[in-house]
Amino acid sequence: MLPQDEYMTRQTKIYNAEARENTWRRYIKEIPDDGYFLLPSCVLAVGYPGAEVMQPRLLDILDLDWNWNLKPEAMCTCCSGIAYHGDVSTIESTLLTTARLWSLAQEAGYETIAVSCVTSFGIHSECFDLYHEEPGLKQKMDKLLMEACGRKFELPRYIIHVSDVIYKHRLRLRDEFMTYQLVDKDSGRPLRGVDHVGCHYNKLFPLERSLGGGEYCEVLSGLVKAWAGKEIDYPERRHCCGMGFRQCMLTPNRGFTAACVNKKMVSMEPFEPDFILTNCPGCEVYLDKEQWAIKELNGKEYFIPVLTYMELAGLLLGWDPYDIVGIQFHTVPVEPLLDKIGIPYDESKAWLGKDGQTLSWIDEILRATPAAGAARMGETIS
Amino acid sequence: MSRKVIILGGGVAGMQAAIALNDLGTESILVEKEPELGGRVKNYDKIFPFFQSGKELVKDLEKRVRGAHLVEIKLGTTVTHVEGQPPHFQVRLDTGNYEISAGAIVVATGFEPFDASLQEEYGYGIYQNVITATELESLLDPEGPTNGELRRPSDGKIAQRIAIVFCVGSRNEKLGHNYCSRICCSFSTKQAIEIKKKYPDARIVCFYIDIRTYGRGFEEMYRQAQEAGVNYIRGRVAECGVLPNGDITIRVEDTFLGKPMQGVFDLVSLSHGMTPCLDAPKIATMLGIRLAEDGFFDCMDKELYANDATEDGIFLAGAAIGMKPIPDCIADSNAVAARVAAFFAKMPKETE
Amino acid sequence: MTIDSKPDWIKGIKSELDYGWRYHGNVLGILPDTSVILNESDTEIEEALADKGVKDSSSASCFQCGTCSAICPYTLVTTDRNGLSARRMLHEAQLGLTNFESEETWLCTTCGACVSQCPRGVEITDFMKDLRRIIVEYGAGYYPKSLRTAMSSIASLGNPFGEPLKKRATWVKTLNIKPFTKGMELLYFLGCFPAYDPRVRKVAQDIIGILKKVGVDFGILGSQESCCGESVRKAGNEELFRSLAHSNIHAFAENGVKKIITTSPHCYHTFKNEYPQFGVDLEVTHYTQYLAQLIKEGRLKFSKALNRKVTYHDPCYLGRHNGIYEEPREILRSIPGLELIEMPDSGQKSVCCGGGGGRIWLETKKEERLTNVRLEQAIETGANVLAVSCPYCLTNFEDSLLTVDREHGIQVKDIAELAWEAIPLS
Repeated sequence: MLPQDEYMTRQTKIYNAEARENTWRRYIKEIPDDGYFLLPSCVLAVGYPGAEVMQPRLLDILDLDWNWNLKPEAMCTCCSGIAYHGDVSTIESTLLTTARLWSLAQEAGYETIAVSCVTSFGIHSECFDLYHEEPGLKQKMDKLLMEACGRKFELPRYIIHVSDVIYKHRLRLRDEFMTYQLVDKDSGRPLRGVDHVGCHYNKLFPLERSLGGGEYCEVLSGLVKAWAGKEIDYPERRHCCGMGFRQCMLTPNRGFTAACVNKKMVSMEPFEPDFILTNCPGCEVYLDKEQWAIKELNGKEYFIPVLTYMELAGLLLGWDPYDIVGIQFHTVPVEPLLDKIGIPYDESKAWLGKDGQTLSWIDEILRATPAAGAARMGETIS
Repeated sequence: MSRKVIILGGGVAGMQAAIALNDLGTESILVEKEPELGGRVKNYDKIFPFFQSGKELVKDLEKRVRGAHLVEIKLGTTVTHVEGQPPHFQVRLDTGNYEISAGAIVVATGFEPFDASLQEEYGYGIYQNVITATELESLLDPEGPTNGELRRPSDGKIAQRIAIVFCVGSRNEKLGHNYCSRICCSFSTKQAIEIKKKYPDARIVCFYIDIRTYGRGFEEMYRQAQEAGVNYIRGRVAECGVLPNGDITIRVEDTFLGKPMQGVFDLVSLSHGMTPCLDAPKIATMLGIRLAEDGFFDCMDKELYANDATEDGIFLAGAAIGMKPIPDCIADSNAVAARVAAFFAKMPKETE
Repeated sequence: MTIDSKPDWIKGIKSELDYGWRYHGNVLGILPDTSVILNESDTEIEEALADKGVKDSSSASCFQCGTCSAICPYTLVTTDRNGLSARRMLHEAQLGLTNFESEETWLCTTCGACVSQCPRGVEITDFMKDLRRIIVEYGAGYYPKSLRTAMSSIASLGNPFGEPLKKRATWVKTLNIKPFTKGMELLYFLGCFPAYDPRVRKVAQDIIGILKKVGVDFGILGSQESCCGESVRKAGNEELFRSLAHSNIHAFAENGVKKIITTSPHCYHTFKNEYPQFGVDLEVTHYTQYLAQLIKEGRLKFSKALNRKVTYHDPCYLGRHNGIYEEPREILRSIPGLELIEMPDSGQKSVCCGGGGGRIWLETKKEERLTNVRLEQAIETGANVLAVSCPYCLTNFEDSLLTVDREHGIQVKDIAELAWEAIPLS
C-alpha cells in the first residue's frame, strides 16, 4: 500500500476531480422522492439474497412509500431479459411482460417503476423507447395485454433504478442513519472504491436515463464520495464485465466473460482499489466469481471485494454482515474490507441456519462448489 | 454619406482589411475587443507550411496598420448598437457616448477553438496529460511557459511518446458540427514536424480519419513529416484512460491493418476544430444578417459574392466565414476592400 | 424441511469445476487480448529495421494508397492466402510490427511493377530485400529450406545446383570454344542455368552457334565463372553476394575482360547496375541487344523462313528494370515469315513469371504459378510459339506447359533458338 500522502498528491496531479464534476452534470435526470413500485431481480435473489432482502428494509427506515403489500410470488415476473438477450423470445413477448408489470404498478397507484436489476432497467427503457418510435405499437400491445391477462396499461412516468433512489437519499442516509464511513479506521485515509456501472444503465440512453452520462457516470461514484470514500478512475472503467447472457450462459463462450473481467482487473490493479461497487446483479456475480476462475487458470490473485450499492449501504448502516447483508455468499472474501472499516463480525455465525442452528450438510456444499467454499477454506483445486 | 468603414475584429483579417482600405484611400475604424491587436495568430510561434513566425507576421501587420493614417484603432472596445440603412449606418460603441456614422461595416470576428471537454471520451480537463493543440503550441513556443521544452503538465517530464488526435470536435454529428475545420490536419502535421526537429528520438503517432493537407505546400509538408519519422495511423481514437503515473492509454483500431490497438503515451494532443466566434449570434442580430446552418456567417451567394453578408453594406472576411489558412484570410480582406470600394462607387456622390 | 436432510442437487456435483468451466472435457481458458500494443514493439525488431535502412525516408513516406498491392502480379493467382500486400508490410514496418515468421516475406519476385507505379517513389523491392537481410543476418524468422540448400551450394560450389565447379564448362568443350584470353573482343558470360540445366543449355548452344557463324571473336571463362549473385542478394544474403562479386570481378580483371554479353537478364542487370558499387566499370550487353546490333550492322542475316505466329513475353529484368523492349522484337521482326503478335500486358506491363527474387529456388504451388496465367494469355493470342529471353522465364514456362490443362499447340522457345533456326546450316 502506498503512503497516503504520496498517492493522493500524485492523483490530484494527473486527475482533475472538479473537471469531472462539470462533465457529469450535463446528464441529470429527474428522480422522484417517494412512491416507488419495486421490481425484484431474478439473479440478485439467487446469487446474493442479502442484497435483495435489504431493499425493502432500507426503504422502510427511510420511511418511503413502496409497494410493501405486494406478494412477489403472486404478482411480479422476471422482465424476460434473459429470453430477449438470449434470442429465444420475440419482441412482443418482452413488450407484453413489461406492459403487465406497468399495469400492476398503475393498479397499485404508483407512477414510478423502480427496478433492481440493470438488465431489467435496460429492458424497461428500451420498451418505453419503442412506444415512442413505433406508431401504432401501443394500440397493438393494449389489445394483446387484454387478451393475455385482461389488463390495461399506460406508459409509466418515471423508470428509475434502485441505485438512483439510494443516490437521491445518500446524504440523508449518511447524516441520519449510518454508523460507519468508508475510511480506514487505523490511518484515517479514505477507502478507494472503483465504480462499475452496468452497461445498460448508462450506455443505452445516456441522456435520458443515466445519471452522469456514458463516460463519467455518477450514480455509484456519488455514493462513494458521499460516504467519505475516494472514487478511482482507471483506463478500463467503462469496459463491460463480460456478462452478456449469450456469453455467460453458453459454456463455450465463457472464456470471453473471464477475459473481460481479467482485462478490468489487470487495468485496475495499479490503482490499488479497496473494493468494487456495482449496481447490476450480473456484474456483481461475474466480477466476483471470475476472480476465482482467474486465480485457478492464471494463478493471479486479485481478490478485490465486489459489493452492490445495497450491500455497501447495509454494511455502513451497521446491519449484521452475515445475517442481513449476506457477505458469506461472496466468492472473494469481504472480511478484509470489514476489517478496514472497523465493522465487527463473527465468522462462526456465517453458516448458521434459521434460529441459529448448524446445517450438517453445509460442509459438503462448501467443498463442492467454488462459490465461497474452496476459496475461503484455503483449499486449492487440483 | 459617410465614407468611413467600421471593422469588427482586430485580428489578421481585420488588420489587413484596414490596411487595404487605407491603400484605397478609405477611412476606417478598427474595433477590437481585446486590449491588443493580433487575434489568435499573435500567439503562434510558427505557422504552416513554411514555418514562419506568426508573431512576426502580426507585428508586421500591426506596424503597417498603425502607420496607416486613415485608420483609427480602438482597443478594448466593442460595437453595441448599429442602426440605419446602408450606407447611413449609425454605430455606437461601448466606450464614449456618441454615435459614429459609417458607410459600410466589415465583420472579421474570427473563430473560437472548440471546447475539447465536450468530447468526454478523451477526458480533456480531467486527465492532465491530455492537452489541446493550442496548448501544445504554447509549450513549443520558446517564449512560452516552458521555454520551448515539451514538458507535460502532470509532472514536467519531457514527453517522448506523443499522440496527436485529429478531428476533435469536427465532422461529428453528436456534437452538432458536421463540417471539417480544414486547417487542423495541417497545423497538427506542422506541430509533429516541430517536435521531431527538437526531439529526434521522440515517438510521434498521428491518428487520423483523412489527411486533408490540401493547400499549396501542404502536401509537401505532410511528406516532410513522414520522412522525418512521424507515424500516421488511420483510425479514430476511441477513448483515453489514465495510468497511475499519469501516462495516457488510448484505444484505436488501425483500419489499414484491421487490428485493434492500444497504446500508452506520455502526452496526448487533441487537434481541436474551430467553432464560430461565440458572439456570432449576437453580432448577427445586431447587424441584421443571417448565420448559416453551421453557425458561421452566411453570404449573399456562395459562388460569386462569398464576402458579402446577406444585407447590403456589410462585408465578411477571414475565419468568421469558415476556417481557412492565413494567406486566404489576407486574400479575403483584400477582396473585402475591393467590395467596399465598389459599394461606395455605386452610391450617388453627396457633399458632406 | 428438516435441517438434517440433504438436498438432492448436492448429489450430482462431482467436482469443483463442474459448475461450468469444462467444455468437451477441456477446462476453458481466458481468451487472450489480441489487440496490438503500440509503443511496446520488440526493441530488437525496431533496431533491426532501423539498422538495415527499412525505417529510412523512402519507406517512411509510404502513404498507404494501395497501388503496389493492387498491381502486384500475385493478385492474379493467389488462392486461400491474402497474397502479397506490400502496402501492409510497409505499414507494419513503419510501426515496428513486422512479422518475420510470415511466409509473405518470401513471396516477392522483385519484378518491379510496384516500384514503377508508386506515387511516393518508395523503393519497395529494396524494402523486401532489406527485410530478408534481417532474417538472414539476425538468424530470426522464417527462412525457407530450399533456399538454404541453394545458397549453401552457391557458397561452396559457385552454382546453385550442387554440381561441381569443374563441370561448369565441360559441355562446352564439344562446341570447340576458346577460353577467354586477353585481347579478345567479347566475353560470353554463360551463367548458372545454361551451364548446368539441359533445357537452357540449348539456348547457350544456339547463341554460341550464331556468334561463331557471324565470326565474332569471343571466349568464355569456364570454371573461373561464378554465379553472378543476383538471386543471392535479393534473397538477403549480402555477404555471399559480395564474395561472389569479388570473385567474378577478380576473374574479369585477371583476364582483361572489357566487353561482356550475358544469357540471363539477371546477370546483365547485376553487372550493369550493382557491380559498379565495387568500383568496376564494365561494358555489358544482353545477348538480344548484341544480336540486334549485329542485325543492324548487317553482319547477321536470316535467310530461312519460319512461318510461325510468335508472341513475346518481356522479362522483368530486361524490360521494366532496364528498359530493353525493342531489341528482342527487332530480332523477331527480322526473321522472315515470322508474325509477331503482342500479348495483353506486354511491354512495361508484363506479368512476372515468378522466378526473380530468389523464388526460382523455392517451391510454388501449382495453383499459385504466375506462368499459368501468362501461358493462358499467350494461348489466347493464337500464337504457336511463346518467345522468351530469360532462363528463369524459360524454366517456369516449360513447367507450366506440363501442368496447364488444355489442348494447345504452343511451344516455348528462347529468341536465340528461333534466331538459330532461321539461319541456314550451310
